[in-house]
Amino acid sequence: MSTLPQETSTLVNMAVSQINAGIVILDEHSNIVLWNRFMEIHSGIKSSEAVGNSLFELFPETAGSGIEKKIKSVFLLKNLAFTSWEYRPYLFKFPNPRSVMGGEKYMLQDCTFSPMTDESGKVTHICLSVFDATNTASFQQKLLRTSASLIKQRNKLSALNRKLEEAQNQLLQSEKMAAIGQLAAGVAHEINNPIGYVNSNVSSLEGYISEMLKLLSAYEECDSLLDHNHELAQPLKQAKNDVDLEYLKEDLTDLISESKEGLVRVKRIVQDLKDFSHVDECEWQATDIHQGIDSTINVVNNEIKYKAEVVKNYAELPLVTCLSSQINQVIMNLLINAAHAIEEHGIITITTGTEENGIWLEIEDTGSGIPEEKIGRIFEPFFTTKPVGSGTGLGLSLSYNIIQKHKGKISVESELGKGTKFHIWLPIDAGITHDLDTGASTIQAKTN
Amino acid sequence: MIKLNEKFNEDRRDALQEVVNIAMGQAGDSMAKLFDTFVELSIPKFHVSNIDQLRESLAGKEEYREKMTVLRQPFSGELEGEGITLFNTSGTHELATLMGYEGEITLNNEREMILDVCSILVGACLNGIASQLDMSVSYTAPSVVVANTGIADFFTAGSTNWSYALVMEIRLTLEQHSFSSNMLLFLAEDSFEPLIQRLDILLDEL
Repeated sequence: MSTLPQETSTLVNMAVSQINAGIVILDEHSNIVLWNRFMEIHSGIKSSEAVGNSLFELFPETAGSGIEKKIKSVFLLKNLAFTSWEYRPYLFKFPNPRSVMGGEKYMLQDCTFSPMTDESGKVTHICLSVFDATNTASFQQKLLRTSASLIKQRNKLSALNRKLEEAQNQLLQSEKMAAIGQLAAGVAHEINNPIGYVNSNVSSLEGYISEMLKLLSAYEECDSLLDHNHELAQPLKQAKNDVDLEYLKEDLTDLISESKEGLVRVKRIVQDLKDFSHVDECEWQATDIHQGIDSTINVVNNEIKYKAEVVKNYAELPLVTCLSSQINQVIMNLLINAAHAIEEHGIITITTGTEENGIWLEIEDTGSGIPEEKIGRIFEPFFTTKPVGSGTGLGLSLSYNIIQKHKGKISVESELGKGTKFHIWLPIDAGITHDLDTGASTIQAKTN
Repeated sequence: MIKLNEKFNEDRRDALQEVVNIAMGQAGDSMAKLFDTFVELSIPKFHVSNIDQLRESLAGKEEYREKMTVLRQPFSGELEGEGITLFNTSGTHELATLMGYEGEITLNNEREMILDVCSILVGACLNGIASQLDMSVSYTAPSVVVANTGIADFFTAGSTNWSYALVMEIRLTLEQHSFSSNMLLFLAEDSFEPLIQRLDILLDEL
């Protein structure tokens, strides 16, 4: 500054003193050479007290936080170094001068370290300028808080939307199931009537035929009494040979008994359809779980019979209060999944037992198993491993929700290449206080 | 583009390359003193490019595909532009001791640290170029542009207010530390004329 005219030099000094920013000049040992009025006012340290002291001794909290390196970089590289309130709220802990209206406790600062060079271009000093950024900073922080809360709300909303979508899809699926149930019940009812009279007719027919056969035998007894040379004897013999009476007698009985067997099967399928759909019994009631499993197996037998042998290990089970049509639906989902998991031919084992005021049932297959990375997701809606078009990805998610509604637990264990085992536990009496929304349920999944 | 190639003819390119090489040597030297470790700065290749060409060229390079934190250090004066520094933040904890931080490193410390490295890197390289060419350059505080993004995304989303720039790619590696960073130095079109003038002066002096 020695080269400046006297008047200019005074003005520069005045500017340094009056500028509304902190100006500190440091020498190469970080000792303070200049401490302007802004610094005096906000720090409470007079220039005469500051000058000659090391910055790090006067403000020990600034040491060890990267400031030394900043200063060194300015000396070495003739660089500028900065601190920003965003990452370092303040370099000097000055009280916030806006003491009346409150806000930030300390003045937030942006600081710049600039090199001061001599004629040869060597850095001899550092000019540290300190700017009060409190206003901008508080405004920006407010904005940040607002936008953060907006983002939070948006996320909450989209999570809610997703849930709604899931619920809607499950509703659709259960409506579909209900419709199928209704249809099944309707069909069952329609078939029941004709089957009723066919059944009674076949029974009568059976009686009549056996009597007719008795009569025929009696006639045959008399055969020897006939005059074989009589002119009517020849056509009789001819007719007897033509109809192959012996075969006819044998086959008639077979036909009747096979028809009766067929009728029994039709009746059982109709009954199973009615049991499965339970359109008229969609209330919580004491249910025989084994009966439910059996009728479900019959309903889905077409899907299973070519893929697997079903082995049942039934224990003695008490009646369980549940929505039987929904439990059947869960069993059906698990059975169909088990059959799909089996590539050629395997075994589906159904085991039941009692435990802790409840019953459990396990459906185990010898199929391909579920990979570890997928097992955690199988109860998610729309998650499917089946090819496009063959699975909705809703079966297990729906099953999970049904078990949850029954305050039960469903879990899965799987080993790749060996098979998968689903374990369901149901309380004997979930129905007493069936509060549908708070059905506590747990979900567990693990692979071996 | 043809006009630009004419402007940066072979002589001028050679001169600039020479200036840049010397600058990188000086910068590496000073940074080694600062960090007390061997510093490697790649010798930069520069090219004049528009945003589409740049994005294409960056997208083609393996090292720009990972997610990175992008910092910007603007500079102005006779040399005008921005230094864009790319950090893979997984290596930044290494920096704490080098940058003189003691105690636990918070996210804010980490941010300030990479901002410091950004400004040191841009400053060291650019000061060397500016002082050889006797051009003035000054700096504004660096800032974090985006955290954890791919660089190709960054150039589609942001800075479209330039048509052509002189781009230099420089890679910084600290030996014995798993830290490295890429810097893209963008000289704005406005700097082309003064730069060429200075390069011509330099060439005349030969």
